[in-house]
Amino acid sequence: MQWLAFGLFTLLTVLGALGMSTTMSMFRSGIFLMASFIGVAGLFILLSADLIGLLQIMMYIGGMLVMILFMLLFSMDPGGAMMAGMKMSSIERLFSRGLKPQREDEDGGHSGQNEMNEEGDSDEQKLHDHATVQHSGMKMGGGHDHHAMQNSDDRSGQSEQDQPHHGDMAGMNMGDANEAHNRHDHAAMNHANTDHGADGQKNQEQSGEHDQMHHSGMDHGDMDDMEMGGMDMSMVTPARPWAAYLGLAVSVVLVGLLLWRPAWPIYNGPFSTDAPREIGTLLMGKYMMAFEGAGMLILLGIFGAVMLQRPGSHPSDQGRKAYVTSEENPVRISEDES
Amino acid sequence: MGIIGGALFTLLTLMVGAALTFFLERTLTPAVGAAQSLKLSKDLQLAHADRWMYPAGPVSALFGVTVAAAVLPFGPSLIGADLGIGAFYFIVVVDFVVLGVALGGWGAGTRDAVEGFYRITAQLVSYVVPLGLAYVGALMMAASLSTTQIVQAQRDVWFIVLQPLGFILYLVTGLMQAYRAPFYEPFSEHLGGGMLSVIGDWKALALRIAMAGLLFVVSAMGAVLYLGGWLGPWLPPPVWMLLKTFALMALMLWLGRRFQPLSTAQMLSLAWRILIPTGLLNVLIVGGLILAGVGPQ
Amino acid sequence: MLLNLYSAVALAALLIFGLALLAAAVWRPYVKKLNLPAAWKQYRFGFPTFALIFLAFDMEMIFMYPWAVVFRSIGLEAFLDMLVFIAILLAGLAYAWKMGGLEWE
Repeated sequence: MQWLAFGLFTLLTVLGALGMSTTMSMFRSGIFLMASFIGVAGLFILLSADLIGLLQIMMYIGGMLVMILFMLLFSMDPGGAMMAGMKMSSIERLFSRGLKPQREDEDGGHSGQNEMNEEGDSDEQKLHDHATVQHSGMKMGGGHDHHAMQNSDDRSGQSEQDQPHHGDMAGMNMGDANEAHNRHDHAAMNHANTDHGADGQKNQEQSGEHDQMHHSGMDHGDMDDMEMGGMDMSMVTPARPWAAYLGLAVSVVLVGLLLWRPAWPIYNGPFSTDAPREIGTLLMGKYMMAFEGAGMLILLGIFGAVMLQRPGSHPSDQGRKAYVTSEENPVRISEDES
Repeated sequence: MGIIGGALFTLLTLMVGAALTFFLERTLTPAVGAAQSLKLSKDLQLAHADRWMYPAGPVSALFGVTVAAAVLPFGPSLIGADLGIGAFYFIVVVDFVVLGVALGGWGAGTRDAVEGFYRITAQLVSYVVPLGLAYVGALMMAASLSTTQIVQAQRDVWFIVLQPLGFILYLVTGLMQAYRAPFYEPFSEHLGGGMLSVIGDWKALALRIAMAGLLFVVSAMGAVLYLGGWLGPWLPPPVWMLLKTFALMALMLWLGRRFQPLSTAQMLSLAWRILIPTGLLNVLIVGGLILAGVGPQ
Repeated sequence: MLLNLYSAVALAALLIFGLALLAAAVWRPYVKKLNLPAAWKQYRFGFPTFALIFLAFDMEMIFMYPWAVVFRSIGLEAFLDMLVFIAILLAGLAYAWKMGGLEWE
């Protein structure tokens, strides 16, 4: 019974992490990370450390929601709707299901055309619509060019189907490069904005599109893949094969250790049933300086937060130009008092 | 109470509480905000809904209130699951309700609903810290996180007598937590009902149960923390608990209607400029009282 | 013992998931399509400072719960320790307030 619960929580943790790294929607990414930590909290509860488990849940629900808010502040396509129409590997498609692809100029009338998630075989007309309006899609690609350039042999559609493990490992590679991507996106965005604004409307030929793409730094040498709908927006194909094999080897070793079960040293002392009391006693006694030190660190965090919000030192000017809340102080709602 | 008994008792608590709350709210308050009538019959298929997040919202909210109802004591041993960290667990799982309405708001993908998502998260940012401070006062006197212990610690005198400031703080932050007047802006007519205007069928039913249940469990926890739970002279304990819960619920709703609905900016200001300093002051006062020997020993 | 309690909670959660799934599968009312414009855009919400300060104070609340439990048994020393902690955080809050951080943008 405990093994069943252990397996369920582990599955939740791993699937949450996998989904976080491969889905096309920023919002879902945050939610998947939250789900992953809830799985970890479940593991803590199985170890009878329920206070720690619940602390995990409390911190991460609040923290992930705030993180999602800040992602929405800085990213151009938070819901993943624009990316959902692009060509991507199967695992990314799995975790991005349910997102209706959309174009920027879409209004209610066009939604019927967007029933399909796959637009790889679009004809020239749709293609140019994509070209003119999906600037943000290309900018996201611009951020990945340093990965794309390393692996010019790995971009065909075939290979991404054959190597689903790329999903995991590329996810891990991308995970620590995510910060760089966001910043790079901003730099690329400012740069690419001016280009596409000028060129996008006029170019109706593929050579023109080639110029645009070379200019924005993407290295897709394969000329057959030049349709916008078929442009490879996946984040998993540029990964190196050895990363996938390394990850697979590590997983095999871990699972093998779990099944083989050598004699781990196990703590045989009685575990506490009154965790808050013990933690409180420790905080007030042995770890009192650490406790106050944590207070100082929190204070530093508050200082940083306030200093970031001063006008003129906003981390991204793009953020200020974005759509803002409709009023500062929304109109008071009048209600009938009875 | 055993595993199955505990689970069934939890569900019973939730259903009875949600139903009675629903009827109580309909008679006491005008149907605004979260108490308004949801179109259960018609669903709207939204063009840009996130097909995973949108149904996950009401389910998560329902999950939150259900597992929160597990730690409400209705008698000396009449509780779903007597966790050693009951009060802390309660705060954590009610966060799932907020997560649920936030997911539903974003998942719906309409302008009003997404705007509602931001204001819902603003409400989360407002209520968590003052609510925790309202809890901490009662926890200090009870010296335990378990809900049954908190009730037992009020054998001699209820905490509302010793900590009136904490009680008032709990009233205000409980209303914030339950998305009721005057803090119901994410669901108000100003936003066109936010998510509530587009949600339908089973999702709307789940959300309705979750919101009614939320007010119930918040009031019940207030009764446990400040009004002495199931303690009382003649009537059986569950009756006392229900009476106190409904009294607190009526008080919250009545007080909420006295005030104009607050905009999100005003609510954030209220929480961070007034409620948090009040809460910290309350903690210091209670600390002083305990050092002076007042309260349960 | 602890796992029994959490199993009861987990069983209640599973039951409610089952009920919700049942309702989702069975209840199929009349469905109308609604085509409103999409709303997932980059959005400057008005409370970033509040959100960051909330994270800081959330961490503070984590410390206050165990402290509240042991306070009565330790007494004055615990009170003074927490007094210092609260003073540090109130200083942060006051700084944010005076620097105009507690405003809706």
